[in-house]
Amino acid sequence: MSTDTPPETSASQALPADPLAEGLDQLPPPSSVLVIFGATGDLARRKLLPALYNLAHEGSLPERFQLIGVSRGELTDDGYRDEVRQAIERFSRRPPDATVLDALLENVFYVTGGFEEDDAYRGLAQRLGQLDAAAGQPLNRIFYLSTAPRFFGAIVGQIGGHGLARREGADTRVVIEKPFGTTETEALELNRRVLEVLHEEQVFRIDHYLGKETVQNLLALRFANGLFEPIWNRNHIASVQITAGEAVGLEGRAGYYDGAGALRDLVQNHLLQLLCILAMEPPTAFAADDIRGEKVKILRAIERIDRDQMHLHAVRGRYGAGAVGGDVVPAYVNEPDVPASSTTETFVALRLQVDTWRWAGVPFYIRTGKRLSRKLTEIAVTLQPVPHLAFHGGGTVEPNQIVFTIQPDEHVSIKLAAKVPGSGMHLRPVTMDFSYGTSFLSTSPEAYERLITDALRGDATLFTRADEVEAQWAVIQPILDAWAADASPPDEYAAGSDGPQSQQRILRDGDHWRAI
Amino acid sequence: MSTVAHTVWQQDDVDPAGVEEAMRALERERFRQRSALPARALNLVTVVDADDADEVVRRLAATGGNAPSRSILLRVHPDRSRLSARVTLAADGDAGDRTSAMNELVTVDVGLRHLSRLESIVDPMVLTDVPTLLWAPHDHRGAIESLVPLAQTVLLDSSDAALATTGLDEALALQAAHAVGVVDLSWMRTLPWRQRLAAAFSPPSRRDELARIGDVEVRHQPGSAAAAWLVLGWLAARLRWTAVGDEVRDAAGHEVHLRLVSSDVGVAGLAGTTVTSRTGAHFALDRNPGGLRARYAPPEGAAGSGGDAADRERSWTILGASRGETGVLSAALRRTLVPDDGYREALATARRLIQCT
Repeated sequence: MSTDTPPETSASQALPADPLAEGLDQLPPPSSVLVIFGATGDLARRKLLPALYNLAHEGSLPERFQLIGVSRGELTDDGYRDEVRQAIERFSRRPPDATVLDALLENVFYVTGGFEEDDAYRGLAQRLGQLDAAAGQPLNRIFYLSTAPRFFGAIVGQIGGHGLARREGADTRVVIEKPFGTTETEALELNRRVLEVLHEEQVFRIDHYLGKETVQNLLALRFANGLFEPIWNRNHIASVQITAGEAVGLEGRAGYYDGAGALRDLVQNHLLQLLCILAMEPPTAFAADDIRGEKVKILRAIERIDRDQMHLHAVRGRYGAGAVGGDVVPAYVNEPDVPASSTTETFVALRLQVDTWRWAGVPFYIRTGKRLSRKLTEIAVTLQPVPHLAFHGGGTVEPNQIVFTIQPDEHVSIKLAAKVPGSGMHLRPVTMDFSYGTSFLSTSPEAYERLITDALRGDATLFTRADEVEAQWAVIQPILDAWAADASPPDEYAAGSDGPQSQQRILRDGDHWRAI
Repeated sequence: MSTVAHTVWQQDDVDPAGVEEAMRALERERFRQRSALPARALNLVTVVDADDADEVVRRLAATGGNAPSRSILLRVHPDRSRLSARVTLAADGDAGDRTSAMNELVTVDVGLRHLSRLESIVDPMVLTDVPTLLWAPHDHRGAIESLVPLAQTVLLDSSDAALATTGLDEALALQAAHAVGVVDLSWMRTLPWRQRLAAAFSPPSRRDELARIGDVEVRHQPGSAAAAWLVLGWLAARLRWTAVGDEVRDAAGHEVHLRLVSSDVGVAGLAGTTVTSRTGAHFALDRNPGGLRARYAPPEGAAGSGGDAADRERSWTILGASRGETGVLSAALRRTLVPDDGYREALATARRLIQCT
């Protein structure tokens, strides 16, 4: 054995910056404490806690991971652990492994307090300090706001007021659930309050649609395939139709939904996100600000609808009594907890225009509703008809369509014209359908698993930036204002149908709605 | 509620073209019943002893949604002279949000006499334009040689050999002889350990410790020494350790002591690892209920000296369920589709370390 002992200098300089991490595609996130405000609420129980368990099961949580629940209810740590266990056992997508669940629960704590009360934050700060001390290192802190939206500003203010917004040697982030405001004014004010306390890089505004694997796949299909992008413009595309149909009704959420309506509930966030991903220019890099910057350009390019033109661009509807899936269902206004005087829309159809070189003249139709004939989320891109058809008397030739189905199954379908076998040249439309969801030898994670992991990592790509959410509201607010000024009730449609007849009026001549 | 429907075709004394024709017919029938065909990503060709085929089939079936798009299972019978084949198309439909999948299993009974010309039998059956993974868990090397022109990747387990050196040498030889990638189940078993070691030393405040590592002990299940050597090979390659004579030295020339310890934990792969720095600080990971038990001890003489929590010995659990051999196989199948994370380099380095030590 050699007795040479080189000096302890410059050895690390010879190595790459993070040598063991290179080549590993799934390095766990840095050690963190996740603080859930609204820890006993419905979202936490149904989505967040099961998502955390599944991340733990797969070994995807940080090396050191602690969870602190904050809520008004009086609970001990053990009492909250019981609630967490029950939520995971009931809602996890996989049966929990007892040893993993027990180990996870050992790292669960609870702080009692109202979201606007100083005591809660003093207790929280004390607990966070204890966890850092036990870990022997400052842990990253992720504050997850899973509360009623009216508390968002107050919680962020308290986080700042108690010195929890920044610290040396570790990162602090705040995840804010939707809805981010209920009006443009509220959203602007909330952004102002949040950004008084936090830097934008610390703010993760959730839109769980972006966590869906299929939505991310849209980016791959567009920007990694030469097949689509060359025709992705006004020269080849006649129209775009984005549909998010739901067969379900209120599912016990009348209190929230009657105050929101379909436009705020789905269009302001999810469907505008789909429109952006479909319409945006290729980003220079697959990085958070590159992608979000391109989406903001699209949102800002959406033409604002003048109030006197609103009837040609927007339709609101409300379901009446009908039958869905063979069950007789009541009209919206007869649903439990819906006031008889409600004017809330359960259906929206919009015709939007994206004023860019690429999309000038191409109508973007958006449609969503409850109690429609079935559950379906899809984007249908209709191509321009061929300029000349040589097959005289050959039958109907419909324009090609590319349909990306997001729910309930992940499909891409391309509608083509094909020759009917036989001696004549008769053409008929056929579809070439394929399902790509499970081709890649892994099960897609739940959207919340992906989004929580990204928040723990600090990757904001799938979260909404301040200017993005403001641009979304700038599109929506004129419609809300016009409807608020219009005393007439939403157009009625029968539950189980494809929406009100009046949706036809916003279509350009020759266009038609796809069947839901 | 999930439902699984199977469509089956079976025939004795069949030629490969007949199997391929039957598959296309089943596919047309399937398409008539369901509107969408699955996009396909991977062929898996598996060669097994007929008597032990069921265990392999169970392992593959357990991968569930991770199963390859098309699996071709060649069951080798000692005296068989004619081929027989069975094709099963399984459609897993789910009424909920989850996606639906359809997998295709082609089972072909062959004899030993067919092994040298398996390529001509299997060629018509593989999906074109998607990668093909080749696996011979019962050591049918002749089959590998015959089929490797069809494959882009070979799946093996370097722990299958009686000696770790033999298993690693076989993987090296396969890479050297053919332009194929290798996915090694022993390497896949080490993935969580590598991830956790990498994560432990990823914070900038801890990266300097990598340059001060003076001793590494890897504890492994008896029979899994190859996995232990691969982890050492990975560490050495990443940290630029070199074998000098009978010693291993780091990038600055300090000696690094490497040690393998056999430890029966009842699970193939690693049992634990301890990384010790020249200052006496050490970081250890060991299998534990609910995940891995991590232990950190500060440098000698530092413990408690400053009253700082960072100076205390600590232990904690890193959460994670055991993946089991099914999970390892699933990860290996997926590895075929994503870039290798350093196996080739780790393998070559591991082999040099063995020679050195």
